[in-house]
Amino acid sequence: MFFKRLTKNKSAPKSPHTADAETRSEQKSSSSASTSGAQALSPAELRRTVDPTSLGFKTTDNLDPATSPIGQDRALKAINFGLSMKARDFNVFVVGPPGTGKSTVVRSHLAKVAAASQTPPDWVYVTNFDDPRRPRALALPPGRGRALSQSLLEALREVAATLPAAFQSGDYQARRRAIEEEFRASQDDALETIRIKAAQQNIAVLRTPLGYGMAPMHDGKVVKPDVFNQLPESMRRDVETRVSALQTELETILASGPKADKERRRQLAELNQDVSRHAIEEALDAVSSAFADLPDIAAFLAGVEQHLTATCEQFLDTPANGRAVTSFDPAQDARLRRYLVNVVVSRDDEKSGAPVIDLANPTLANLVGHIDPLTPSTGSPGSGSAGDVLIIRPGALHRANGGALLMEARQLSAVPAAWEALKRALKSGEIVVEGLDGPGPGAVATQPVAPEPIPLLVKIVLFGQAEHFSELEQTDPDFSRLFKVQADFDTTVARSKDNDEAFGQFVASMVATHDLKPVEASGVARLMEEAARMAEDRDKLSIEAGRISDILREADYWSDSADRKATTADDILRAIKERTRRADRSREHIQESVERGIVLVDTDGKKIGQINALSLIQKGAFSFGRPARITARVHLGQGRVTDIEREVKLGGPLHSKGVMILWGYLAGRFAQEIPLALAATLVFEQSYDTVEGDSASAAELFALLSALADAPLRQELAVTGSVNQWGDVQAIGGVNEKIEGFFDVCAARGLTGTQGVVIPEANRQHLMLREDIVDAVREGRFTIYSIKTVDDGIALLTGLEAGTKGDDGRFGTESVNGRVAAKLKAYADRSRTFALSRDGAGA
Amino acid sequence: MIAHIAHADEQRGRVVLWLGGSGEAHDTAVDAALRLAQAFESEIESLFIEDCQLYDLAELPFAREISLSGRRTRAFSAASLAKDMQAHAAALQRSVLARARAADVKVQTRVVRAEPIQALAQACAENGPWNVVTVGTPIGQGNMGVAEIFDTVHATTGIVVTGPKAQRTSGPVIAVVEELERLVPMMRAAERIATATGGDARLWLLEHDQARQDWIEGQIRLALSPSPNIKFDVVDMSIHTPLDVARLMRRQRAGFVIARFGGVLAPHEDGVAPFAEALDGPLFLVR
Repeated sequence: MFFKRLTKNKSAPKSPHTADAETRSEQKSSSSASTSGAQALSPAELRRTVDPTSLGFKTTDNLDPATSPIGQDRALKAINFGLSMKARDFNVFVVGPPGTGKSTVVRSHLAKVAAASQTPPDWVYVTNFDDPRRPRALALPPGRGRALSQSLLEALREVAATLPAAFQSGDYQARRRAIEEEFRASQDDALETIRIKAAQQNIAVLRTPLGYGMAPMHDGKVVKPDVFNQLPESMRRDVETRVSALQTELETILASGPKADKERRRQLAELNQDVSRHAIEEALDAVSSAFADLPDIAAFLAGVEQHLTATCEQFLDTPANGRAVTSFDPAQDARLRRYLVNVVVSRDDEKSGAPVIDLANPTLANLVGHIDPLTPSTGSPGSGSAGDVLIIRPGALHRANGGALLMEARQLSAVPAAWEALKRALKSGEIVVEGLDGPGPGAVATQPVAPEPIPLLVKIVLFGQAEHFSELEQTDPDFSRLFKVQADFDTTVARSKDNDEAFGQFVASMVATHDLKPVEASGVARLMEEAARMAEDRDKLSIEAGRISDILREADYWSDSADRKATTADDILRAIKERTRRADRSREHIQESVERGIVLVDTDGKKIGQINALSLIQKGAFSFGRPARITARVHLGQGRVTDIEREVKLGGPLHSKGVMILWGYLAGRFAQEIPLALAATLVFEQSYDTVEGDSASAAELFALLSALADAPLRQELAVTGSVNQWGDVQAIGGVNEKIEGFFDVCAARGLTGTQGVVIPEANRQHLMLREDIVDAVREGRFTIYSIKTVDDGIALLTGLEAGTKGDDGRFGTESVNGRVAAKLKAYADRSRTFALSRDGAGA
Repeated sequence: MIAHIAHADEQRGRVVLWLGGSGEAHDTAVDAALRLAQAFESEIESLFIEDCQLYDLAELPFAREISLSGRRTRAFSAASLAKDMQAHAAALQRSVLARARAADVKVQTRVVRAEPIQALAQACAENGPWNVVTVGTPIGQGNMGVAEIFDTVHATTGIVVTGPKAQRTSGPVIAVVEELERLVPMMRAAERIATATGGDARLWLLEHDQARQDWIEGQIRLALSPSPNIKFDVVDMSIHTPLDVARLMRRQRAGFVIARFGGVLAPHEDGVAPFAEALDGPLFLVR
């Protein structure tokens, strides 16, 4: 293998010649073929230049930058339609190849639409005091979410400062002590009363490890058992009776303890709430007043006040510092964290318009948000506990709610969980924030909160290429139901006065966007020529913003290097050349192989069954043509052509199709009365990589006809084009690069004036050749021929008449077709003779 | 020296933490014992006395024990009492040991079955004259009176009692001075205790008589001049009661209060409990 080749014989859109091909007759086809059918093209036909003076400006400084994208009216109408449809299922899929600037155009357009749209509300999550695991989602007018959060934060700072102080005030302490004292005294008094009562009856009340016991005493000491037992029975019974009665009383007193303690706690709680209520009301007063107009928020703030008051005892043991400290963060305080507001969506103000959010990395969490996992490392006191609203993290859907969310389809579909979540959200019209594990089947609910869903009204705008659209359409039934608007971006616009002007403004807008130097009219003209070349059509302009912008910025760089104040045609040309040079290593390598005779390509003389075809090699964004030798050999056989590329699995399906078509042409034209007793082999010589496309089918047919007619082909010509079964030569892609590839080989060997390239007539409109080729043609050193039919080509390549059928239905004997017919008849005769002799031998 | 507590190796004095024979130990009382031991670099003897009278009760045929909730009454036997006592003593001593270990204070534990006051007297006597008794249960909960302790337990220089609502030992240490001759030892005791509790030492002069008050105040200020860090206040007892003083002390967030038993704040047994109960910290009564 001498070089690695990625061959791609591109087919252009089918020529109009094929449209009515089915209805043609053989007679008509034959009549259309003539030796004089090939036309040498004039220099003017090889490149459509743009006259800078016709553009009507000196530099782009004289132009207003484009305010709307060029040539995308249909796509923009589709987007506008999608945006104006309020239904959730009319989302937009923007289709177009990469580098067309579609995302820039859409973003810019959406920004304008969004700015004039109604600003959606702010959204906050707050604690649900009735069901802490279900945080409440509350909407506020735009811009007020953050104000609520900040006001409440300050209020809670105030609470943290004033509540402990209230609890440590002399007034509170005195009231508390009074309650405690009252309770203790009542218990103690009761105990003391019974102790005294017992003592008066000479009964001691003794504390045991688990309770109380009563015993008779004498002189302040418990009577010893032996002494007691010596007492008269009546006295002992009397003691027992008294003890029993006192025990009953004691039981009653002790049993009342819990009830009294409950009452004590009730009174203390009432005291705490009474004392704290004022401090809390005072602290929350400003925020409550500021949001009194919003019933939901007012209700929440009332809940905060109520809950804080009910749980105020948390602040009992906190040292008072007497004043609110701005550095104090309530989020770090487990007692206050629950009252904070989590602002998940915040707008600047009511005039900020609808949001347009660009999500570059559409993971599940980035899209619908997530709930922070329960890990101690997340760290604030109280964080991650049940009901903690601050661990709810919003996603892009939250931010885009009420506006538009833009994503790349390829990236989104690469994350199935995100794609499924998006569909769920669009179908239900709600954003549901879930834990990172999601609610998959069988999943155990471990997330500390299940926030209320937020109503969703958003337009999703997906960007992708046509194949992404098709893939999603075919593989996901929901896709078509949810993305009903397709905005198809064109990559080209037709050349016209209006569009030429628009192109100038298009350039001016790029200059403004990238802060470049102004571009002179000559530079814009040169850029338009390059855009036409990119469009592969002299009558169209490419509007692939990415590629054009790249050239423009590089030209700006070269203009800087040349110390110019404006970018000129020379700078544009330099940028194009430098870009080509940077990507040109493979082309040079191939060129060198041809020049050194490693890859065999003849550029002079004549050969039977050998022709120069042209293939297109694609290296990223850079493509170039190269000549490739095709040879054909024929021999007696049973009507089979061997496409060697196909046999060794180096031929793609389109290439194989092309070979079969040319075989159909042969059979249809020459085997109406005789069997096609022909076998042929066709091969791309020195080709070691896959060959795809049918653009070499014309060349293959010419090689085959040459071999059959024993008519040598001019090796100074190269051929590109596909054929149909009627013998029409059809348009192919990459015509400019292919011509340039052969020209470079010829130029390296020395242009003889007889060299040239044969192209389909239908490709004339695509010619935007390099200036050096145009010059060579102008000077008669190189020629571009166009042909319509196989007969046009074979006549040009052999120098012989192609041949038409006479009244007798036969081709002229010296014509190429006549020779071919004669060879095929000879093969048929030989085949029949051979068959008879074989049958005879067999008999 | 009023508050002399010997070093552990002197074998002459220590803090005797009397845990009582029943009921729960008071956290602040235990803490007070630990701070005193730290302040005087002494050790603690944790003394659990099983009141022998309870065993006499258990021998009586009608002996019953009423639970603290009052909802359960059961027959009371010596065996069950012994078992309960053992468990209760073990739990209390374990708790004291753990807290002492954390405070880096050496503790010896002892459980005796005897008549409480006699057992306390004997335990103090075994260690020489320099003992401070810390009552481990809140004052008034059936424990013996301060006067009784001072009368019976000769080998003690002071008694620490805590009210049921006492909650801290930290804060200023206030030594109450009524006589000039007690000034220096009271001040030294306050300073040493303050080193363990992290507060400052303060002196309060309590006097009814204005003329005497003026004279003593002058003398005290003179005596304190080398110690400018000690804060000195005067309370006119002609217009304040002991409970007023307790409230003042509480407002100052006092920790330890050192006062003389028999003095203006605790002139007799009946005055001790109300005064101690009005404080947030322990009351250290000296002879």
